[in-house]
Amino acid sequence: MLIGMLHHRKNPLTVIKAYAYAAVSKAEGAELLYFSPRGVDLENKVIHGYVYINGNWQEADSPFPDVIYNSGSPEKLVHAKEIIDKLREDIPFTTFSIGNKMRIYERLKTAGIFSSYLIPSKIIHSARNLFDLCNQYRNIVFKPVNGRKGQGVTLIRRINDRFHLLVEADNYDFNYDELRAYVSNKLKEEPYLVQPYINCKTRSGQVYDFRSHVQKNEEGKWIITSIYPRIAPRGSIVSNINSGGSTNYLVPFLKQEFGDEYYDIKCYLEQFTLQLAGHMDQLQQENFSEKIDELGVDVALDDLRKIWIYEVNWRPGSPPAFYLELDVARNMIRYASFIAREHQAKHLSVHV
Amino acid sequence: MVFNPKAEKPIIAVTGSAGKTMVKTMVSAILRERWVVFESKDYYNTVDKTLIHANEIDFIHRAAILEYGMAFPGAITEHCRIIQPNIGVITNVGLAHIGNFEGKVELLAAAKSELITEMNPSGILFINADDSKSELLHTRNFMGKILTVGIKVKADYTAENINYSEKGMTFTLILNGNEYPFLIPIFGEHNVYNALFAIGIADQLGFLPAEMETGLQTMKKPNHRLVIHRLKDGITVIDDTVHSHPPAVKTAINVLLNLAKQKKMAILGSMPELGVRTYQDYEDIGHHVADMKLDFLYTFGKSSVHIGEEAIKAGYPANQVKHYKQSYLKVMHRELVQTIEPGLTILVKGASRLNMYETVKFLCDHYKPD
Repeated sequence: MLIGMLHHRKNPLTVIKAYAYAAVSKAEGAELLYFSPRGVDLENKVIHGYVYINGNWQEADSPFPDVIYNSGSPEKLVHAKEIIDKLREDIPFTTFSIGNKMRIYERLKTAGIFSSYLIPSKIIHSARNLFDLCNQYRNIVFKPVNGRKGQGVTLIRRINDRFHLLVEADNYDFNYDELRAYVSNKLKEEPYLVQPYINCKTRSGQVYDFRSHVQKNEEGKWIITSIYPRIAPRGSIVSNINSGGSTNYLVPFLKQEFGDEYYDIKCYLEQFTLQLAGHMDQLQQENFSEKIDELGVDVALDDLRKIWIYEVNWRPGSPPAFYLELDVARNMIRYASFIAREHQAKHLSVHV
Repeated sequence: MVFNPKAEKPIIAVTGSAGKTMVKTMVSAILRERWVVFESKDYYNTVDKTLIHANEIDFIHRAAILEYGMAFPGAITEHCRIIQPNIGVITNVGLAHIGNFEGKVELLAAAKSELITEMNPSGILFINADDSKSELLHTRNFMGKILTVGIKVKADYTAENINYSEKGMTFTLILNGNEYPFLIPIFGEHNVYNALFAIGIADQLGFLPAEMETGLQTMKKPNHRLVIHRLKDGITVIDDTVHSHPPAVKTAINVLLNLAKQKKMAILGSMPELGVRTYQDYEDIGHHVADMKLDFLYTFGKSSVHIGEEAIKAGYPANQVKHYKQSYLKVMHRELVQTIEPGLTILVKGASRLNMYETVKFLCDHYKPD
C-alpha cells in the first residue's frame, strides 16, 4: 500500500507532522510518499517526491500512490489545481473541504436535526446590524467568518450606554460612535458574524469549551480521537490554546466541574460528537458526493447541561498534548488504507 | 410539584400599575449576566404583542421576561393563555385605567388577579408588601409560592438604609443571612421596589448577589425617566419627560427634594385627561408643592394652570408661580434664564406629547458645563 501525502510545501522537513505520518505508515505496514503538486508528472504517471528511509527524507521517483492524504492547501497554488483535479480522477483522496463556518452553520440549520444545538449566527453587513443584535442579546461575540485559532474573536458587552470590548486579551471601552467606527472598519477588511454570547465557565470562573476531535477508522466508521477542555486565560473568552488557553485531561476536568455526573457528561459529549459527525458526513455525501475524514467540533455546556455548538472545524489541528499526535496519524493512515481498498474493490468489480 | 427553574424555562410576566418596564429591564439586566434571555421591547405589553412574542421566544432563550398590560378586564387571562408564566410579578395596584373598571379599585385588583389564577399554579408570585391596595389581590387560593418585597413592612426581600447618592439609589438587603449593598443607577424610592422584585426573581433562579449587583449597575437606563444632567454653576436638571400620571408627579417631586442641595424648581406639564379626577389630582399636586416648599413652580400646557391656583390656595407664594400655554415655549425659556440662579435644581416633568424634552435640551445647551 502506497499512501501519498500531498502538501503545498515542497520540502517535508518544513512540515513537522510529515515525520509522524511516515513513521506510522511504516508501523501500519504501508509506505508514505510525500509530494507537492510540482512533483507530479501527469504524462508519465510518475511523482517526484520524498520517502523517509534510515533517518532521512530521500528524494524518490514513484508511481502514483493508492490513495492521497491531502493536507495543507495545495489547491491555492497556481497551476496546482489542474494537477490535483487530474489526480482525483484516478486516485481516492482522504479529505474534502466542508466550507467556512457560515456554510457549515447554514447546512446544519437547514437540515434541522441539530439546529436546536446551534448558537444563532448571523453574517452582518453593517454596524447597524451589530447594534440590533447587541440590543437583543446584550452580550455578543463578533468574529471573522474565516477566522482560525481564535483570531479576532471579540466579546462585546453593552454596559449602560457604553460598550465594553474584549478582543482576545485586550480591553476597550467605546461609546456608540466609537464602536460604530470600529465595526465599520473591521467589516471593510473581511466578513464577520455575530452570535449571542453563551456563558460557559468553570467553577473558578474561567471561560472554557470542549474540543471534540473525531476521525474515521480502518472500517470507515467515526471514532473519538479525543475530547479535551480548553480553558481561556482569566479575563479572556478565547479558549484556543494558540491564544494562551490551557487544557487538561477530560475525566479529571469533568470530575472537578460536575462531580458524580462526570461519566454521564462524558458519554453525552462522545455520543453527541459521533452523531453530529455522522450527520455532517451524510450531508456532505448528499450535497457533494464526498466523504469527510476528520472534524473538530467546539461545544459548550450551559447550566442545564445542554450542549451548544460553537463551530465545526475542518482539519482541526492535532490535540496539543497527551501524546495524541500519533493517534491522529494512525487513524488517518488506517482510514486512508480503507478508502484505497474500497476504491480498488470498486475498480475491480467494474472491470470484471 | 413546585416550579423548578432548573428543569423548565422561566417565563416571567410583569404586570401592575407602575414600574412594569423598569422591573422587566432590571430582571433582564441581571439574568443576562449569565443567560441569553428574551426580553420584550419597552411598552410592547398588549395582547397582540404577546402573540408575536410567543413566536419569537426560541430555544436559545434560557428565560423570557414579558410585560403584561391590563387595559381591560380579561386582558391578562388572554396574555396568560398565549404564554403561561411560571413567575408572576404584580408591581402594585394603582389607579391607571380605572375608568375601564367603573372607577372601582376592587374591580381593578380583580383584573390584575387574573395573573394569579392563570399563571402556572405551582409557580412563584411576587407582590408588594407596602402597597395597601395589593391586599385586594386574590392570593388566597394560589397554590404556588408567594414572595413579597418591601421597604416599610418586613417582607421576604426588604431594602434598608435607602439613600440618594450621586450615582443613583443605594440600599442594603439581606440575602441568605448576609447583608449586601446595592446601587441602582436611577433615582426614586419607587425604583428601589422595582430593584427588589428583580433581585427576588434572580435569587429564586439561583443568581449570586455579585451578579445582581453588576447586572443592576450595568442596566440600560431608560431615556428621559428621571435622568440627571449636571450642568455648570452647580445647576442640575432632572429630565422626566415621558409620563405624567399623578403618582409619578409626586414621585418626581420627591426625587427633586432628595437631590437638591440648594433651591428647587419644578416645571410641571399638564396631565392626561382623567375626567373628574383630573381636577382633584391638580389640587393634590398643588398642595404637595406648597407643603414641600419648592422655591419655584412653573406650569406648562393649558390645564396645568390649576396646579398653581391650588398651590396658592394652600398658602404657596403667588410670586413664585408662573404659567405658560404650550405655544409660549420660547417665552418660558427666556424667562427661565432670568430666574435660574447657580446651584438650582430643576425638575422638568410632563407627558411625551407635550415635548417638554425641548426644555431639557434648551437648559442643557444653555448651561453646558465647561
